[in-house]
Amino acid sequence: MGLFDKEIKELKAYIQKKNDKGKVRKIVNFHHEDWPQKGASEIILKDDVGVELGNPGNASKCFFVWTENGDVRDGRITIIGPDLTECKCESIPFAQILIFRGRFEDEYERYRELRSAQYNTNLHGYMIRIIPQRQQIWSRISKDALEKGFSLKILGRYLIEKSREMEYVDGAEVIFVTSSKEDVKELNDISTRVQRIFDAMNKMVEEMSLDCDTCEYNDVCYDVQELRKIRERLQKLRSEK
Amino acid sequence: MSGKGRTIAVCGKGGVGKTVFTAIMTKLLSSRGDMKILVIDADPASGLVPTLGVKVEKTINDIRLKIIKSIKESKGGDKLEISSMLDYEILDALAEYPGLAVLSIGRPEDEGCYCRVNDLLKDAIKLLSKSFDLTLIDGEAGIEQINRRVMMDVDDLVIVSDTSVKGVNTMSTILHVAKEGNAVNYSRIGAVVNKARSEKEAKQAMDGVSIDFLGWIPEDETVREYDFSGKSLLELPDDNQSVEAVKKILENMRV
Repeated sequence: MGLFDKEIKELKAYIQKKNDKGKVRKIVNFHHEDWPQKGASEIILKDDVGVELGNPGNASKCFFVWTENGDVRDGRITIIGPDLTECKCESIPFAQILIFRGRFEDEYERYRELRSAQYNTNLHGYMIRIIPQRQQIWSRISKDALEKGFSLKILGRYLIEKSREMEYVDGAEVIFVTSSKEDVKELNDISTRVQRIFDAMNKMVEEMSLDCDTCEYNDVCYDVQELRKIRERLQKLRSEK
Repeated sequence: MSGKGRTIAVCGKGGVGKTVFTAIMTKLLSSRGDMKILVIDADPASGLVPTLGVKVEKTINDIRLKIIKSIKESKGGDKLEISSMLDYEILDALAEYPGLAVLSIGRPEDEGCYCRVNDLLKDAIKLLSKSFDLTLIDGEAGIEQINRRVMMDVDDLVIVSDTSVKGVNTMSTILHVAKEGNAVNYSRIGAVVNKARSEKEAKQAMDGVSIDFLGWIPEDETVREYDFSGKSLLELPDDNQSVEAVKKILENMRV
């Protein structure tokens, strides 16, 4: 069992459920000429916004999971709801989920690297703010970028290609949800569990104490066998020092 | 314009007209339509916000307190978590208008010393200002406050005074502190005299102060009326005498 096998299975069930309602589009190996990169800092003020995704007044969700040998279709972009050019409102709910396949032995470092990669999205006309721990994502696409055809397919392809630059990632797919606040909120249970797994993992690495009786994450470790393995590995390492 | 990311900080004794000067600069620059302006109200009394007639929902100090609370509850996370939270919250705190965004620093901090948070906040403000073509900072009397609460490096430091001896003495003190080099790093420094009756009077008031004279702003009944009735100075007519005067000052500064 991998760290997130249960969550990945539930994500696939979620997509299937939305597919049954005709809300899903799956795009594999989307080709488009490279979207121009922006400089280190570009601000898109309200007046220049073509569409805003997951702003503080809307539903927003952003997280990633990984698997070593689970079902990941490399290059697949799943869009639940309208793509950006089809949006009727200037502000829409938004979820962005990445599923990676690869080798993640040093889980703590992998988590930090993949988290940073999501934060540094340097696409022209696309401004992003993420609070990883709160799993919140707020992005703005400029009117100009929207007119030039910026889409979730372009964003998805960029995120997949960027994660594939990590030598330990050999496959990646992305899921976007724009259909409704309810559809984004439906991901809460899965995303909360994902964050608690990461929090538990981080706590094990960052704190010296591995005392399960006093740990607020002992329920997560009880559920996720892989976390217990990480704990055992750390215990062994520390006792050898 | 001398390139993207130029920062102009305005300081001077309380009541000499720093806020009016900053507000009129904001009016002129934001109406050009070819640049994005960030205006930072760094005065704890937040006088610039009502003078511009803008609505600010959240201040930098509110964000600071929120982050400190998070850290105290052990929900702060590592440096990337805190930095990303600050970037998010600062965007949310911006009062946005066409070509213009306003950020208010708020009341001085009162929750003890959190240097790490203060430093990260200053980094976040600096990074934000780089996204704009121009940043205007309406500061307190002392330039140390600009460093402590907003940023260490500015391009232009403008000291405003009226024609009073007290105002000019404060200008001399600020100039002295600035030249010592420990308070704020700047590339250019200059003076503006407000509420003067003529250029001659403005220059006379500054007699003996060794600083570049950038211009003067006349006593202006219209500005007084706008101020009195709470009307936004962004709505001042283009041919108003103070607007014309600030336009000349901006030309002298090559903005």
